This record gives sequence, structure tokens and C-alpha cells, in this order.
Amino acid sequence: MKHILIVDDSPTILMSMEGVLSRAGFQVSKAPSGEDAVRALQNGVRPNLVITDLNMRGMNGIDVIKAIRANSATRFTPVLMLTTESAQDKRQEARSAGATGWLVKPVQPNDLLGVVRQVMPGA
Amino acid sequence: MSDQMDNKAENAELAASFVAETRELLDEANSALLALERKPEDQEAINNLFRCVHSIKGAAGLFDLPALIHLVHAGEDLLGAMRDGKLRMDGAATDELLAGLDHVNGWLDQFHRDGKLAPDTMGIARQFAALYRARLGGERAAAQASGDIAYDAWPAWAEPAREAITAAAMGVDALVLLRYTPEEGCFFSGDDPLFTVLQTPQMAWLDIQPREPWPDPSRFDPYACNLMFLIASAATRAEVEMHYRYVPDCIELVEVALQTLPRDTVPEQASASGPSAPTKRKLTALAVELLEAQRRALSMPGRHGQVDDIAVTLRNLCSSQGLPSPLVDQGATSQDVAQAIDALLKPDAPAGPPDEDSAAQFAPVPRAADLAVERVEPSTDKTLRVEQVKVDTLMNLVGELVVAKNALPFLARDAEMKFGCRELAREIKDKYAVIDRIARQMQNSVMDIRMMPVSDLFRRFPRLVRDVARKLDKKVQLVIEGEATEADKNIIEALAEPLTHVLRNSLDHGIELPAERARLGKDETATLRLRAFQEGDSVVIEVSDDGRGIDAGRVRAKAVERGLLDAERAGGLTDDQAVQLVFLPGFSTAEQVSDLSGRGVGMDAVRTVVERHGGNVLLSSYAGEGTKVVLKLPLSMAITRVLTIELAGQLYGVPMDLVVETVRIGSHSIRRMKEAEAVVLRDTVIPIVRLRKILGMDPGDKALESILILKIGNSTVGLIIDDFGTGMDIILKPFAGILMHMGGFAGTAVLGDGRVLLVLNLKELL
Amino acid sequence: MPISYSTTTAKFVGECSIEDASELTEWLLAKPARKVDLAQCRNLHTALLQPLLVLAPAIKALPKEERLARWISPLLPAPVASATRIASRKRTKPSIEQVLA
Repeated sequence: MKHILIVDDSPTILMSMEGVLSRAGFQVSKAPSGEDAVRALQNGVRPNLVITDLNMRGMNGIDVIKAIRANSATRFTPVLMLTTESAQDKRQEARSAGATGWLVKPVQPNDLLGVVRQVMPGA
Repeated sequence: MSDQMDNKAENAELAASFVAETRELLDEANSALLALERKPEDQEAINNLFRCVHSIKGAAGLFDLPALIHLVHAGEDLLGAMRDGKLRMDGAATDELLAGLDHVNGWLDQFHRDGKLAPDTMGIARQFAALYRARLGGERAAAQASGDIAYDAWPAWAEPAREAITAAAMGVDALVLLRYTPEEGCFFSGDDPLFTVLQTPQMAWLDIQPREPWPDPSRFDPYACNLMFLIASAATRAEVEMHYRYVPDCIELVEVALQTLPRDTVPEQASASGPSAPTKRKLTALAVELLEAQRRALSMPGRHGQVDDIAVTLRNLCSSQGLPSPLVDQGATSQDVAQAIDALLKPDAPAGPPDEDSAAQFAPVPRAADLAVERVEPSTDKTLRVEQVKVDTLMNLVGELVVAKNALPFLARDAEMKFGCRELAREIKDKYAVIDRIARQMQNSVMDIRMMPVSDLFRRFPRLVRDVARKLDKKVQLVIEGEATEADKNIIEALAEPLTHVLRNSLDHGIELPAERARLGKDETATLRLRAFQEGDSVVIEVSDDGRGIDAGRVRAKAVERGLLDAERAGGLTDDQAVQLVFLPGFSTAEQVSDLSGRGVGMDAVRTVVERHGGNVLLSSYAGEGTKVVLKLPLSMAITRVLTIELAGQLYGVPMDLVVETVRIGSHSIRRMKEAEAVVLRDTVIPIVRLRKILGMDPGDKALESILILKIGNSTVGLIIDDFGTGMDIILKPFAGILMHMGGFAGTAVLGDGRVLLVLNLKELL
Repeated sequence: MPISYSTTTAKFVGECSIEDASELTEWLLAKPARKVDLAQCRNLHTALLQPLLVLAPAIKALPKEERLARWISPLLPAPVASATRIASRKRTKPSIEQVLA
């Protein structure tokens, strides 16, 4: 079963995405902050895909991605960034920092599953 | 697509989401179409329209809806050409597109209801697709005749493979050629370029080459990407760009036209096909898609009964591709079919060029996996799409909470009176105050969620007005104001029917034919104004037209003729009063109502619906100048305080604001005058009525009668019931469905213990 | 482990990811006569396709998976049944034109 780590400081977003993804047959872990996500990865959590929010209290999404790429165990892991339309310039930054793609909020279930399947082989 | 969504609940959720979303998109597409018909150069409208149709197609790809996709796909092509300025929107094209979208809407209902489409839908889809494609064909022919081809030239990198690409993409007249050169370090962004490439929508041809010459094997770095992908796709440019949207800097993309073979050479080619064909030909992308679909169908559990169908499809497919049928004529087993499909799908299987006609018949059906990713709706707000029923549940729960919390003061009283615990009683009262405050806030929040803009309702009217006006040969401009005005969802929904009726009345009876308007010195195009605004706690909706107004004389005559009042009284009415007679039940008749103006529903029905929701209707009319109908309704279905009463063992509610007092009187004190009854209360004679009688129940005389003294309008009236209950806060829900037109009741409320309370509409009953 | 190695053959099974790229490359470089069996490969990461194209090991079996079979198999050398021809093929990188021809 494919494992997805979701990072967002909104419990609602975490819950709704978990719902969609777990019903679609994915194993889902949730991290309520960038720090929690990085700690989990350092502690050996090995997701097949990470979905992280861009704007979070504390460590932001760009930093999360940089930390993922700096960890030899997760350097090739696909990462999707959640952005809003207004954060268009952030996408280039995210891409440069190592994001595989992005999703625009609010994320529709169909879009989420579609993009997840596009960036995660075998999903 | 059962392999992708094996979970039923997920599937159902997706389906529900798809239906809701597509409905919205269809609404949006409708308004964009109408805007476009008025202003064909409106670039924003065409972009919106294209986006809507594109999104519908994208989402539909997740489900087994071939007809819907077929129609929408053809529509998208047509709109794409319009967007690029190759075609212009006109009245006839609008009609065709509207009719097509109507079918899509109907199919959506079917899909929502049955989970699938009726068998006849594909035929309809083909008809519409042919209509749209015919327009496109004209455009292509015109463009080619004038030498004005909008396609790009073949890029240098594709030249060497031109023949192979053309052969692979047989049956398509345009291709997207794409060179994708991933960055060297792309693996460290989580990219898998090959995976992305293999998912390219409608890929027709692929070649992979090194970007730089390969280094010596000993210095080969597996983590440096040194590949370049050369791709040809039969999908649209937009689809391909969408697929590669995460790597825009790494792709070069051109759209090229293919030289289509002259029609009469096709059969010869077909007969010459086979292993000896000069180039290694593959099946067309479309044929492969279809074959793969057949294979999937075959592997689905429970599909073995359909082997014959699949075999037939396979034979047709082979004949369309100029191949001999791989199956025996009769009695192919599912294994035979599976083997035949496998044989055809083998990469080096011989294939002839396709027959153009059949290629046109099967429009490319894009695969779900390709399409699911194409929709990223931009929005700056964090919003959550929630099903209405969930909010309704929440509202019911809040209602129950409001009701349940009302028990606390009684508990406090018991604590003090029965058990003598004054401390506890105070504690309970304090807690009650807190819960009461929170409950009120919750109630306001839920009410707020339920508020929606009237635009959701108004959206349907431009289409209605256009269609009716076209049918009646009238010229009408609909002006909509105040679309952002919000009101409770129930109110908005309740308004749909009355408002439709009022608009139709205006179109049908109020607005004159263009010639007549010209004669009267009016603008040939009538103005129909739909305006919404808030006024205090009410939402007001005005429908006004500049038509001929209501003829007070004719209304008087008709009312008398219908026996609604006598001629003398009718003559005594002012014109303004006379016009109001249209609200009388029985005034509107089939004879007066044209086929457009509705189904025998008159203004009295409009008034009934509006009043049932606590609103009122005003009508003013000036002969020769126009009519104005004003519907005024409460902004939200706030909590209503009712007094519960008992009647024949059943609980009913009476709106508290009508109740003056409750009295118990010995039955001997009731004075009877012929049929009428009355009581004297503090020197005032109050007429009384028995609720049992009004509701057609057995009279239940008792020694001590319970009487509700009510103030209705300006009169006071006593209502005899079996017994009083208590006051309580409820959330009133109007009747829906078949009970909607039941008179005498304002609606229902669910009580904390699950019982249903019927709330009486005393204005109507008395 | 999606790729399992015997003395002569690397067998790709299921979803083969970039994590195997380094090991595969080294394993193929170590003995040029080694070959790969792609029959049960469901997904092939780009980083695994590259060594197949550069080092051109003999193919024991092409992938059965639909997309790979349709798009990738034509770009790989035809599968060989016997080991005798392998030596002559060692490290000769076939051009794309040769492969397509």
C-alpha cells in the first residue's frame, strides 16, 4: 500500500485530504507542522509521497522540501506543494527547492487523486 | 475504471462531487453561452465557456460515461476553434450548444439516479458531435481553401521521424509534437520523467534519445538524467500542456497539421497492409485505447455474459482498421477474445490504416488517468464543498440542542423545589446561560452557512427569458441586479418556482410584440428587470417590465365572470385594488394561461408559496407602462418559537407571536349563535372556532375547554384545542415534495425526542 | 526488493524505483554478459531505463505491462534466448534508428 505524508497546519485540510486519500486506498500519515514532518522523516518514516502546505506557522513548505531533499533516504521522494492561486511566484521557488508539483487550494478530490497518481508511480 | 477506484464509498463520493460540480459548470456554461450570443467577441465569455466544457470532460473521464464525454469533447473542439477566433458564435450555434448541454444535464440526472446512462444516449451524442464537427469541418475547409492554416511548421527534431509519426497517428488531422528535455537533476525533485511521459494523453508516438552523447560506461551517473523524450500526441495542445504543467521550462511544443490521405486511396492501402507494409505500422492510438478498454471490460468480474458484445466490438474494430477478424464468426469464448486482443495489442502486430469514417465515429475517449489531473480550479479562498444534507443535519442538531437546552431551567426549578438544592439550582442556571449563549452562536453560524447568493437562482433565468422570448418572437433584454444578495438556501429554493412564474407572466402577457411596441413609441426591445436587495431582515426580489401593464377593466370582468365577486363590488374597486384580484384563487385558468406561461399555476400559487415562507407579494401595475411584482421574504429561517398544543393525541405547533393568552373555560360558558360560537372574555366577545372541526376530526366536547386566544391580523379569535403544551424553540422546515402544496401547515420540526411537530398555518386555516 | 539479482540475470518485478538505479548500474558494469528480465516489471523508473539504454545489457524478456510493452519495448534490443550472442553485443550502444529499424 502506498504511503502518503500530509503536512498542513490546518486540521480540516489534514482531515479532508486524509479522508479522500485513505478511501482511495492509500496509507496516510499526518503532520500538523513542518517541524513534525521533518522529525518523522528523520525517525524513519518513509512515505512514497509527501504533500505539504506552503504557508504554515513555523517551518514553511519550502523549508520542508529542502529538508526532504537533504535527507539521503528521501531525496528522490516526490513532493507536492499546496499553494493558492496568489502564490504563483512561489511555485517556481518550490520547484527550485525540489517540489515535484503543486496543487491549488481548495483541492477537489478528483484533482488530488489525479495529481497523486500522476507523480507517484504504482499508485 | 474499477481498477482505479475499487472502493465503493470513494466512488460514490466522487460521483456525487462530479454531479454537483458538473451542474455548476453547466449553469456557468449556459450563462457564458448566452453572453456570447449577445456579444460574440466577448473573449472572457468564450474562455469561461471553454473552461467549463473542458472541466466537465475532465471530470467525466473518471466515470463510465462515453456518450457524455463524446458530446462534450466535440463541443470542446468547436469552442476551441471559436476561442482561437477561427469560428464565430451565432444564434444557430448557440441553439445547438444549448441543446447539447441540456442533454448533458439530463444524462447527469440519469447518472445521479441510476449510476449509468440509458443505451440510447450514444446515438444522441453522435448526432450532436456530428453537428459540432460539421461546423468545424466548414472552418477547416475554409481555412485550408484560403491557405490560412493556423498550424506550426514541423520542428527540425521531428523531421527525421515524420513518416513514422504520420503513420502512427493515422486518422487524426492534427498532432501535438512535444520535446521534453528533463533537467539533469530532475530526479532530485522527485520527478520520474518516463512515468510522466507514459501518461501523456493520447500519445501516438514516442522516441527516447540521449540529450548529450552518453559518457563512457564507467563514468555513467545513474542519477543524472540525460534523456530527451520526443512525443506525438493526438490530444489537444491544452491537454498536453496541462499534463506537463509542472515542467513548463523543459518542454517545446508545436501543433502540426497532418496531410490526410485522399479518401479513395484508403482501400488500396488497406488491401496492401500486412507484414509487408513499408513502414512498421501500429494500430491508431484510438484503436489501442478501444482494445485496452475491451480488455479491461473482459477482465471485470461479472462481465463474462458480455463476451459476445466484446467480440462484436472487436470484429468491428478490426474491420475499421482494415485487419482480418481474429475471431471465428460464432461462439468465441472469453479466452479466445482475450487472446485476440492480446495479439492485436502486441507492439509489432500488423495494422493497416484506419477507415476515416469509423475513426470519426469513435471519437477519442481520453483515459481517466490522463484527465483526472487536468483540473486545478484556481481560487483564492479556502473553501470547503459540503453536501447540503450535511448542513441540514447540522441544522437539525442545532435545533435539537436549542430544544434540549430548554429542559435545563425546569431541571433547575426541580432541583430547588423538589430537592431543595438551591446551590445546585444556581449552578444549573449558570451552566444554562453558557450553553444558551453557545447554542445561539452555533445557530447563527449554521444559518450563515446556509446563506447563499441569489445568483444561484438567477442564473437560470437568462436562458429561460431567451428561450421564451425567441418562441414568442418578442425582443427582451433581461437586466439582473443585486445578484450578490444573500438569503437562506430554503428561501432561495422556495423562490425558484414563483419567480419563474412571474417572469413568464411578464414575457407572455406583459411584454408586447416588437411591432406593437414600435407603434406605441416604445423601444422594440423590452426591458425585464430582476432585482434583489436586502431590506432589514428581509430579502426583496422585484420583477418589473415595461410592457402593457395589467388592464384593470379586464381583470374586473374576468373576476366577475369567474364568480369570484359580484359586479357591484368589482365596480367599487379602484384600479389598483382591482389589479390585486389576480391573486384570488381560481382567477388564473387554463384558458388564460398559454402553454408557456405554465401549468395552470396562477398568481395565487405564487402568493401561497411566498406566504408559506413567511413572506408577502405586492403587485403594482400601470396601464401601458408596465408591471412590477415584489416578493418579500425573511432572510433566513430563523428559529421560531411555538406553543405546542395537543389535538387527538397528536402534537401541533402554533407560532407564539400569534398567541395572546391561553384560557380554560367551562363548556357552558361558550355561547352558540346558530353555527357560530363565541366566548366573552373581560367584557369582549371573541368568536371561537374548534380546531378539530377545521381539521375534519370528530368533535371532542369536554367539560373544560382549552382555548387559545389568537391575534390574527386585526381580529382576535379563540381556537379550541384539546390541551396546551409548552412553548419551545424550533427550526421550521417547510414541506417538501408531494406535501409541498398542502395547505394549512407552515411546515414541520423535529423535536428533541424524534417526534415530528406539525406547525399550523393559522392565517390560512382561519 | 523489486530487482533481484542472480549470477547472470537481474529480474525486475513490480514497481522498480530509482532506489535500485545505483546497484543495477554497478551490477551491470561488473560483468558485461549479465542480462535483465523485465517480464514482470510494472513500472520502470527513468533512472533504471538509462542504464538499460547506455549499458545495453541483453534482454531476457520484455515487459508484459501494457504501457511499457507498447512504448518501451520497441526501444530496447529484441530479447535473446541464448547466452551465446551476448558477448558480441557487449556495450555496443544501438542507436535509436537501429532499434527502430
